Amino acid sequence: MPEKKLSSSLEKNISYLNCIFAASSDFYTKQVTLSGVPCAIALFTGISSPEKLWIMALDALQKLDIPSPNGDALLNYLLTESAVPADSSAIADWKDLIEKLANGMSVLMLDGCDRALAVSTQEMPQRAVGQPNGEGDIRGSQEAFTELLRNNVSLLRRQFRTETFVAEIHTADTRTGTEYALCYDSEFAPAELVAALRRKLQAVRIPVLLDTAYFASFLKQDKLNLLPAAAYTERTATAAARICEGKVVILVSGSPTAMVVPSFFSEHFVSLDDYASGAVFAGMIRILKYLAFLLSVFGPALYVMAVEFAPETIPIKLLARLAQAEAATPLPLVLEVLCITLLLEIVREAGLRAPKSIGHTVSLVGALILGETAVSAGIVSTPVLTMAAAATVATLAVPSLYEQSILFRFILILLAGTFGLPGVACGAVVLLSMACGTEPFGYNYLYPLVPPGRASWRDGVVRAIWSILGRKGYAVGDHERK
Amino acid sequence: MSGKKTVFRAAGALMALLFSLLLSGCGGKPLVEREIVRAMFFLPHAGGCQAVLLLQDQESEKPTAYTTASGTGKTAARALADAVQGLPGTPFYGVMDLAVMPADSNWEQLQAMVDLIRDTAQPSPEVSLYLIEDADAALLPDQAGQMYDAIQQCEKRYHLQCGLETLGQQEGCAAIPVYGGLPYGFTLQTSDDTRRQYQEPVDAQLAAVLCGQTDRLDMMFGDGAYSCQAAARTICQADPERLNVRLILSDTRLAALHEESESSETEAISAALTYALQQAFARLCADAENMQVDPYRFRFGETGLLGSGAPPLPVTLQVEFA
Amino acid sequence: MKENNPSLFGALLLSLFVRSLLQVQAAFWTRSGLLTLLPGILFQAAVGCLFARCWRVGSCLPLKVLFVWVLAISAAQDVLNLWGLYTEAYPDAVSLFGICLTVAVPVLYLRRASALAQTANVVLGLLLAACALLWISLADRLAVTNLQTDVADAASMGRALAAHCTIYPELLLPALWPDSDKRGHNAVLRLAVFSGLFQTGMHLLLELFFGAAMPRAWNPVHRMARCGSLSIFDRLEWLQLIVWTMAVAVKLALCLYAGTRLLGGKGVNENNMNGLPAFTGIAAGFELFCLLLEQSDFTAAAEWLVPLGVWALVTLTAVTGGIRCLAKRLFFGRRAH
Repeated sequence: MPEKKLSSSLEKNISYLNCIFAASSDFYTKQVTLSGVPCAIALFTGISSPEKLWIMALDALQKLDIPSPNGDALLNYLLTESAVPADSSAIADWKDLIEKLANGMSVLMLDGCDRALAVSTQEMPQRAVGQPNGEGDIRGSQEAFTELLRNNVSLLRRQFRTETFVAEIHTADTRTGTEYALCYDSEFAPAELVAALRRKLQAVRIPVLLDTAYFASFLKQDKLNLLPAAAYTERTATAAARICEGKVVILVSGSPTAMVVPSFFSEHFVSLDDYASGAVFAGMIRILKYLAFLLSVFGPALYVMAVEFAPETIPIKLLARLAQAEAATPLPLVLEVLCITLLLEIVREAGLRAPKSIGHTVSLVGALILGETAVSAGIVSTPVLTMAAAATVATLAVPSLYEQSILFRFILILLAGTFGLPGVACGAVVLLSMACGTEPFGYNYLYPLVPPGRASWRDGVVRAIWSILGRKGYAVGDHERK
Repeated sequence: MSGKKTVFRAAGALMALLFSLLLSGCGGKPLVEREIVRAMFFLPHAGGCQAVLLLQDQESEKPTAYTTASGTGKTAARALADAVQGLPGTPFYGVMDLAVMPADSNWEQLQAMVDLIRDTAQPSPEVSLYLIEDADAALLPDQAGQMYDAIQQCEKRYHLQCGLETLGQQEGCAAIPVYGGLPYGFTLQTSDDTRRQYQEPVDAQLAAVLCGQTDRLDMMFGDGAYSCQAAARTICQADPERLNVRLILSDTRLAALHEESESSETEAISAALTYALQQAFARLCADAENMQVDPYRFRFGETGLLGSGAPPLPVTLQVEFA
Repeated sequence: MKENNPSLFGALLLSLFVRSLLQVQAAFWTRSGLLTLLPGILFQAAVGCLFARCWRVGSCLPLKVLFVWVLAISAAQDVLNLWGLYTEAYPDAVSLFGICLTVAVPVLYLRRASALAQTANVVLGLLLAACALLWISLADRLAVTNLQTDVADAASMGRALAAHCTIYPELLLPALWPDSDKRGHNAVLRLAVFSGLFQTGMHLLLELFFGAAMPRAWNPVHRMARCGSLSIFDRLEWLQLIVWTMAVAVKLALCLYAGTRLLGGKGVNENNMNGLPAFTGIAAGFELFCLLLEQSDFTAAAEWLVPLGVWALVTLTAVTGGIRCLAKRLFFGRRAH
């Protein structure tokens, strides 16, 4: 993109614009004369409204009466004295002008002036604010982010009626020049964290930026680490709560998912409903989620380990049944467990990607017919199918760790099937060391679970009642402010 | 460029890891290839030893269906190896919970068999030790399953617990229950092969309680005139004159079994029980003294009070009903 | 929440506990152990502190190489002991190569001090929980009367004192992190205290369980676990083995981390991540080392090789440090005159 300045000749500017946007049928220019000065209006139809432009600006502009009119004088008048809703600063170069056009603004170029004026006449096609798809919560706000960055920022702004909320908008170094926003509370978010994040994101160079998750790999310290470096949310309320904890929320234009940095392991087991329901129930649900995660990751591996290497761990009544079930199937146990787990993943993926009208059918066919017939045909045994299904269901209890659960499960099944007990131990240490070594921006990823302390019981493994929670909330920068 | 290098390195590391997995030489064994051993019996056989392995019948859905494999040899180890050789699969001892040895084994044989069980049964399970008399042993190869179930019931009913480790807990002395039908007997054996066996239920069960192998009395006494069921625990109290063993019986159920019993009142039965226990205790103490061993660890209390090297104190039993 | 100076004290403590569980067992009767505990702790702390002080002034390349050698032998001893346990419990199921691989792979993720420290703390917690479970599950089989009453003679006391006074390589490691943030205050003394108490506690458990048979039992902790007098524990024996394996993996990572620091690798700068290729190479080299040692009767040789190496290191460091200190004083003394 040329960074050269605008010309003072209107004709040259129009011809340059026509030259670069000639092939775009949504590009619209019109020459007008305002107070005797030849001008031109340029905009993209579809994202900018000519009617709005007329109502807000042109009508007023045509009635202007400026003594000794020329381009510069008219621009200065419009910028400083007129009530026309124009941008506060004039456009001086082509890069800025094109960016403004792409943002849905109308640009007014004046003859004899090497600057232009942007008028806010955006009328973007947009999805209405709806409910989140992936985060099922019963209580609390049901508002979800949409694709428009500024709308998302305004959704957040609406939650903060304080002066400390900051929403910085930057343009990413991508081919499409996608905008992203850093939203934080300047009182709670550690300045060091915000600066480091800003620096890291500004250094990111990728061809396209279609989702906030694209940033994730750039924020990781150890690229071999499989645990997520950030958390995601579709809910505005969750994002606002995280901002109150001193974290930074990253929004990307075109993505309805917000990224929260830094994120801790325990956050994957927390939902908005936890805070709306009773503390005892919420605590129980959290513990269940931790157990579900352990079951989803370790369940099939422990099953393989127990049957192949350490049958003494199985009660004798069950052992006899397992032996019979194993004798009836042709595949080795490890292969059987791997195949079933893979098959369940395929069914899930097919159900997810297929059109909604047939998605349910795919799941039904997969779950019932494949499972039922595979067992009756003696291809897989019922205990293996039960374990694999239990692990898959358990995975869904912690949806934000879905990818990790599946990957760890496969790795652990392989390790347990090959090495037995030491294999499971190896997997456990790897998982633990990944969690301990994640350290998002130098923060302890396992906080507040490790080291165990008062915080673990206040809002970690379980949550305390609101009268205790409210007495002293926590924010990531607490220790730095002390 | 460095990104490409990283990718190549990661791919190389992954390949190396996969090869390592394949070449690790580790591997489990499918359940179908395992012979699940539930119990191990050693019997005297033509001057040598016979080993009988009680195996889980994997073709039956019933957990109480068994098969057996037996072998003979000059020693217990050889007999066991012979029995294992005849098995179609690999023996798996992980759920084995019973080992039975002949009651007339000498000290060395006993130790050898226990060591053999400890080293063979991997990963070692909770193994209970029992002795059986020769007469029962003759029938064993055909009735191993029934005997196993019967001993399990006996363990459950009498809360009996004699693990492998109990054999070495006292220097030069072993205290092991003897199974010859219900109720069980009890044997004390020393390293110089002096043996004292108690078949009388009062003697045997009191010995087991004093050794810490059970916390329950369930017996008939007074020549079968009365029965007693009670939870039992002991407390040793030493003073400079004597060592008093308090036998505390709780949840006691006493009953007169014959109509011609002298008295059916609880006090009378309690007195009879106390008398029977006192008599049995005197016999047990006398035997222990004659054998010059301390299977009931009375010396521990004495040493705590008087220090080591002090002459032994007279021991008395005090029966208390809680 | 934010840890800039992770303490490796947990990792050092874990390493000492693993040593107690895998190697030092049934060395003494509890009564003798309790009587000699204090002098043992003081001796260990004194030697550790002397070494740390001398290392600061006397460390040089040959000593560093010797230290690395001692650490390697010690880690190999643990791996081989662990393998011994597995071959006993699950014969033919796991090879030494497999054990080496399973303890070496997690090391890839433990290249940074903070990751190592945090993981060690968690594994230490798990190990202590497993030990507590061991106590609880065996509770009704532990008999106070199993405690031996006539064993506090000179020989028994000597054995106990020797066990308490043994200097392990882990006690020397705090010297590598001179700033107190990294290891905590009085690290050597605290290590000696905790290690002595843990060792005595395990001996008490063994004596309560085995009684007179304790000294005859080979690998009694594991044997006790395997004996599984209580059914719930019988079912949890595998859990003990898994936790021990995790602890050995963390200990290996600590040794490799210390080794890279000693030999001037990338990890010299405190919390920097060690280079992946170098670390992978070292881990692979360690595996080969273990496989080579398997061919010889190393387990028996390590019994005297490790103490010999440790004492050689301590003596040489003390001598070198002393000479340097003396030379410095003489030199500065003359200049002052």
